[in-house]
Amino acid sequence: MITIDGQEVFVIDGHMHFWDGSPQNWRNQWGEAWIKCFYDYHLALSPKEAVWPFEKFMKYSVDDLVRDLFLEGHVDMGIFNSTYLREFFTNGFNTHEQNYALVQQYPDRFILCGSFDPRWGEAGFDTFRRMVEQYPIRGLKLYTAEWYNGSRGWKLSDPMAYRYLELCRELGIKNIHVHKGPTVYPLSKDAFDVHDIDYAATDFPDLNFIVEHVGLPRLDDFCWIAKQEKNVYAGLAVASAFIATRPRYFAEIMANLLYWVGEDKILFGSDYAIWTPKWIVEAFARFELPEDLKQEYGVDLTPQAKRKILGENAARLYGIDIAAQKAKLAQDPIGQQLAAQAA
Amino acid sequence: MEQSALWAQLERVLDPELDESIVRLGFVRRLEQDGSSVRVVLRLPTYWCSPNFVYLMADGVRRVLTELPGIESVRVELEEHFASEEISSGVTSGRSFRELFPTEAQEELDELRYRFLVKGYASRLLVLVQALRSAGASDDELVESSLGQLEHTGDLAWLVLDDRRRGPVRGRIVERYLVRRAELGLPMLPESPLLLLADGQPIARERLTEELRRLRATVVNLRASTALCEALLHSRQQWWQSERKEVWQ
Repeated sequence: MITIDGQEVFVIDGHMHFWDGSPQNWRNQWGEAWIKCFYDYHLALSPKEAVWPFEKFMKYSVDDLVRDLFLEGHVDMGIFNSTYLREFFTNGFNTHEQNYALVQQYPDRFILCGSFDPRWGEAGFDTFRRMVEQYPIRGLKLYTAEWYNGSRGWKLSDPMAYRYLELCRELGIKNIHVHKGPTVYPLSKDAFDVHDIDYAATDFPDLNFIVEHVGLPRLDDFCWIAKQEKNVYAGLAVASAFIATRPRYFAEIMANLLYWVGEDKILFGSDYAIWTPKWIVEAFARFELPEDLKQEYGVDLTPQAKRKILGENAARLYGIDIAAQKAKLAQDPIGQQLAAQAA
Repeated sequence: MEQSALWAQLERVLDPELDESIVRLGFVRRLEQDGSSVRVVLRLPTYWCSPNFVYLMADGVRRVLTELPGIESVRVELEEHFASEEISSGVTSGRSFRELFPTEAQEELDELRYRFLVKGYASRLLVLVQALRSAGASDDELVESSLGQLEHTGDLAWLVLDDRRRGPVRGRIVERYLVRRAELGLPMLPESPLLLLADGQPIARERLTEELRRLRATVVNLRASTALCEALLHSRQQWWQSERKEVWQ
């Protein structure tokens, strides 16, 4: 919760992780290179006071996560990404099985995401079905650039991806988060493209596609698509981290998103633990679009827009009644601790 | 050969995605010449930078340097990149991208290169429009002018109208626009419209605001990506610094 304009605002972090990037988990040099690259992102945009030592960044504790998100980070709920990367990490980077341990401890705090990979083929249908039936999976996080059995990526418009999306319909999964962001090993021009979202969004109008990292560095292509497709949303993770050290770029990105995509279709995300939400949420609550951008685009980042982006939009997608959820959260161990802190 | 001549050539190699020189971006880590051979070491913002872009830059380095008289072989190395081996040896021996990654790359890079030439053009066109506008040109003047009305003197340029001229703007802004416009094969005649979209269409007065807004989104993306790449390259230095420290200890 954060106060904006005298009003309490419910915060859903649309993009968070609980990973194990420690050397014990590295399968090969890729694991090491992966976590180092994440740490470069952390250093590149974090304000000095929010920088962690590399040791902690590789593997942080449940206590760290609870404090950074909920006790200090103003976050009420988190959309929990599952990222497998089994070719880089022996036990996976942050699988839904691992994340589930934390979800069990704080069931009302998380929206757990699973995943599919069309390269599993038909043989993977059962695995996927079991994942959704055995775990409280409410959304999916897809990585079209992930390596698998010698393949270095896939597209959402692949016929087998469509078979899985049909299965999502059947299983009642409506929200599909797709990593379309900084590129990892895209060899063909299509693998790093955002246009496959366009096809899938048109053919599955009853599903929602949240494009994580707003397609950066393909923000412009993403904007054209999101403008046309009612069910395409902007996930702010990575873009949001520009807010402290590169505020002008953040403002320009926001002005574009507000103009092309609109305030009802933007979801806040911190990408924890690449960045901690505290400084991002606080800066966002205070942030004003510069006058020249307001004039040029005819948009504004009003308190109402901030409320929607920070929590209301994600709550709507996941069918969360904010008032009821607040009451529930006040009773859980974290809610009680927050109340004790405030007293 | 003077080192400065080699550097001047390298200046011409652009990061295709960021539309900026690899020298300005700080990607060139080393440049060594031994007779007719040159060795260039590139350091990119991440270990994972897309191999297709990396190939375009590395191959660009080879091509611009072998254009120089007396340079016969160019070895391009990538520091700390997951595909260092393939790209370094492939580019050095002049093999195509598809030959390097036969099972993974489905097409050659021309289409990709073209797509990013277009994005770079969008940025250069917008910069030109903004510069001329702030030098006093009206939107009507901009859409009605032709290329022949651009006047270039040294580092400055003007838009010449019947009775007066608008400017000056920096000559580099005009040059960058004209170079890319020619690269895209767009009309370059004096009577060709001053402002052309990448597909060769002139911009109608009533479409100008909307078209500029589209160009603007491309430019915001380009600049934010450049800022991120620069920050990442800066962050990356830490690993080399700490390794150096370990060696000293």
